[in-house]
Order: sequence, then structure tokens, then C-alpha cells
Amino acid sequence: MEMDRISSLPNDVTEKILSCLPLRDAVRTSVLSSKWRYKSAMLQDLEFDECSWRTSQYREYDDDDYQIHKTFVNMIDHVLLLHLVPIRKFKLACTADEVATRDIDRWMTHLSRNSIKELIIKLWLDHQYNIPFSVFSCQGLVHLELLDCLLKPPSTFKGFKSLKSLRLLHVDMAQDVFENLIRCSPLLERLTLLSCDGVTSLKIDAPNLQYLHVLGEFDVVNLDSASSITEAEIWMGIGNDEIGVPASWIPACSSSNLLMIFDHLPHIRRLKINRRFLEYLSLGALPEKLTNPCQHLKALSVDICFDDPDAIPTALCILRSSPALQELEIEVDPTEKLPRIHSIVEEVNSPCVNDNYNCTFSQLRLVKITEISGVKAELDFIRFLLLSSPVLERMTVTPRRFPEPSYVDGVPKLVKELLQFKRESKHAEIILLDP
Amino acid sequence: MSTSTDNNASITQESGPSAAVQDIQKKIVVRTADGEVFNLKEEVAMEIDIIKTFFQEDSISYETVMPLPNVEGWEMVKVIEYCTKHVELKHKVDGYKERKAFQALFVQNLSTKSLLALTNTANYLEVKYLLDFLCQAVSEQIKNKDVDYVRELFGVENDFNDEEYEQVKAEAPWAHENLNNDLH
Repeated sequence: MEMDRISSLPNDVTEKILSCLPLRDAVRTSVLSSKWRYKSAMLQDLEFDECSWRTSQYREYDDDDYQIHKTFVNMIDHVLLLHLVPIRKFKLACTADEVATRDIDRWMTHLSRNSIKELIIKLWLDHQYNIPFSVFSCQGLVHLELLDCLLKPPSTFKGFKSLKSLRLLHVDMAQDVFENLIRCSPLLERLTLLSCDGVTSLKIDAPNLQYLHVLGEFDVVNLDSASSITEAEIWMGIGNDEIGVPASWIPACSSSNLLMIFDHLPHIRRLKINRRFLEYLSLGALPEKLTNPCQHLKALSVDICFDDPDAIPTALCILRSSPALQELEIEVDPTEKLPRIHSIVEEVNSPCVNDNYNCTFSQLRLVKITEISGVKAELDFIRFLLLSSPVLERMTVTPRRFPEPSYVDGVPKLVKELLQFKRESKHAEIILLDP
Repeated sequence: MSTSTDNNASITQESGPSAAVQDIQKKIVVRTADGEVFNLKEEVAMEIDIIKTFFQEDSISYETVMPLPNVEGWEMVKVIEYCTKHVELKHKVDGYKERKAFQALFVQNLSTKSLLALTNTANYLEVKYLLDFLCQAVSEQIKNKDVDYVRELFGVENDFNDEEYEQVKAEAPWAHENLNNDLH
């Protein structure tokens, strides 16, 4: 037999190896030798995934979901009971019904007594899990991630003093619960908030926040107290029963949403403006330039609806105020602002080419434009970018899969002319050294 | 400009200080346990924390040859290979596929014994991302395998008697049941 090279590896290395394994495999190593007996019981990070468990149990319990869930629960109880060290990270992905919640409550109580640092709970099924009070007492929490839960903290909850990273998907909570949670977690650096019902106003009080990713139907966006943000992705939508721009979006007269947001993003480096957020920004008195240029903005991604006459000036205002911009990504938003009559669309003013915008993007190297239909407004914008980008290295243009019938004639001609497409290729790559 | 051969396992004569100074790019010189000497590009050398600390903490001149008594020559070759690729990919926007392909090749011809030795070395040299990758590679070798296979693969001797063995096994019966057919 070969010399044993693995058992003498330092403990933290064997722990790393074991943590790459599914828990069953890791626990099984306890019978290898006396040196290995307790290694798996000293893992600091535990991950329990009911899907993987189900796959591993398939032979014994083919169809019985309930039985499998029971064995899954038993296994977790077993592991927690025999564990020899405090658990630093606990990840749970499982089904949740009326009965299951009692099990999860029990595990949360156990973890809350053992200084847990990272907690990830991803649930699915019909019953939305109400996060128990024990979780709110975990003051050592550094990372919290929840999927499909209900957040209703006790009135005594004073925030998570150590929380640096928070990720909430489909988590229902009241507006004041949300604001309180953020405001009272002073170390918060990363916040992800996707489709969380109840949060109608995106007002964030987080002076240390660096990364923000949100998706929802918000009445208002207020980043006044979040000026350290360096990376943001904001997707704003409107409710299904809304017809036009929500009244709450319109700023007080003589103020501009664009300025109100960007005045508080002095450190922004990467920004994604998705869905209707550009529309939100375009409301109010649109300036030509931002009061404070985005000195550090390196990468910008924008969803632009070329049908909307306010979209391009808003985008241009940002572009003009971003001297350090290196990467630009534009996704054409096919939502129709104007009626889809070919001639009317053609007549939409393309301000960038018609007016004399003295604009040079001195650092812009990479441009990516997707979902184009070949509309004049789009092509004008592309032409403008090409003329204003002296160090452009690559422009990638991707047309929509199924361009509208009315544009089918226009597209091949204009596009070939302007962009020197390769024939029949869906993705065109242009490398320009100089306009 | 230095050529790429400097970063491969060329067994050079022990390069005196004058040779190192003549190079336009800064080089760091290390000597492994078997006496092999390696010239590393500064940016690659700085990926290896133990080297970085050695030179930076006490401001030791680059003319000093750093001894690495716990590292074999072939291991140094592999580490340099990985770190060089890592530095190269840092500047690429979309290096995912390339990284995956490189990683697959990197471990392709490594025996388990070598893989474990290299893991130990990555830990000693303090190259976190290499250590993470190698631990993942080791775990891949024992995923879904039964105990006997793992024992033989790593050369672990069973020092339990039958009674003890059954007792330990009984502590977590769920881990030993219902193993898939993916045993050997």
C-alpha cells in the first residue's frame, strides 16, 4: 500500500477537502481511520440540500416525498447533535410546509445559541416560512440570505450589528421592517433585494453600502444615505394594473430624479440601469450634464427604449458626465412607448446626430449593443458612438431574434452599410482603431 | 524583455546577482529543496504569499535567493505554471472557459500521490486560489466512492478493529446507506 499522504495534511487543508464533498461523503470518512474519526464533525460550514439528498436516496424511496423529507430532517438532527464545533455557516435548501416549519424553527434555535456567522435559507413550496425570533437574536451574523420567507421581527429587534451582506429574494416584509433592518445594520456592505413584496419605497440608509442589487416595483428610489455605493444594479418595474408613469415617480417641480440619484453616487464604478429605471431617471427637469461627474464610472449597462424621446437625452447626460467610462452595454428595450407605425417611428428625433453634441468618450473601449431591430434611432446612436470613441476596440452588435416585419427591409441594408456585418452572422464584431 | 523560458523549469546555473540585475524586468530567485533554482517574474512571485512576505516584510533585496526547503523542483514548476496563468487571466474579461480548460489539463496527468503533495505545497507556499482548486480536485477523486476505495487511493491504514469500526459506522448510519452504484 502506498504511503498515507493525506492523513498528515494540516487540519485546515483536510477540512477544505471535506467541505468540497457532499456531506454524506464527508461523514463517511469518519471510518477511514482513527485520525479521520472526528474530522467531519469539526467542519465549520454545513450545507443541507434536500434535492441532493433526494437524489442520493432514490433507490430506497422512489416516490415517497414525505418519507424522503423525514429522513432528510433526521439526518440534519443527527449531524447537529453530534457536531463537535460551533457552526460558522449553515445553508439549508428544502421544502417547507406546515409541519416542516417546526423542524426549521428547532434548527434555528440551535444555531442562534452557537454564534452562527452565515445563514442561508432557501425554501420552496406553498407555505411561506415565518423566520423565527431566534434568528433575529443572532448578533454574530455576517451574511444572511433568504428565499421565500416572511420577515416579521420582534419589536425589540435592534438590527444585526455585524451584518455585512444581506440577500433577500421573494421575502415579504413591511416597509418599516425593511428600513429598520437596513438602518440598524451599520456594517452592511452588500444588499440584494429581489421581488420582495411589501417594500414599496427603496429608501436605503446604509452609509457603508458598496454593492446594491434591487428588483421591484418601487414608488421611489432614495439613495441619499448610501453614498459609498460602488456597484449598483437597479431594475424598476411597474405593476400590471398601471398604465402610465406612476404619480409617485414624478419629482417635485424643478428637481430631477437623475440628479437626485447621481448626486449621491460619487463613488459609483459599475452601474446597471434596467427595465424602467432609465425612465424613472428621465423624469423631472433633465440637465445636460450631471452636477458631479461620475469620475469613477468604468462600466455602464443601460436598457434603453428607443421609442421613448426622453430615453436618449437621459442616457447621454450620464455618458457625457462619465469621463472614465471604458465599457458600455446597451440593451434595446422592445417595450413600445409610441404606436408601432413605421413612418412615425422613423420620424422620432435622433438628437445625438442632428444636434451638435460635442462629446468624446476618451476611455471607451468596449461597446455591446443587444436586441437591435435596425430602427433609425438605434443606428444613429451607434453612428454617434462610433464617431465619439477614439479608443474604441470592439463594438459588438446583436440583433433581435425576430425583427418586426416592418423593419426586415431596413435592417440588412443599413446595418451592412454602417457596420460591415459578416454575412448571415448573428453577432457582428467590429474592431475599430480610430473613428 | 525576458523570454518565457525563464518561467519554465530551466535548470540554470546559480545565477549571481549581476545576472538578475541585468534583466529589464524584475526577477525573484528561489531555490527548492533539490537545489533547483528558479527565476520568477515579479508579478508571478507576488502571487505566492510566502515569497511576497519574505521580500516585502523585511524589505529584503531581490538579489537574495530565497530558499524553499519544503518544495520540490517539479512542484515549483507546477505552481509557477498555475500562477502565471492566473495572472494572465486576471486581465481578461471573459476567461471562464479558458480557465476551466487549463485547470482540466493541469491535473490531467497528476497521480494522486503528486496531487496530494502539490496540495500540501500550495498550502505551505500560501497560494489560496491554487489551494482551493487542488482541494476541489482531490475531493472529486473521492466523491461518491466507498470507504475501501478511498482508503486504497490515499493509502490510509485502517487502525480500527472490527468492533470499533462497526461502532463508528453506527454513529452515522445514514451516511453508509443507499450508496449509488457509482462505487468504483
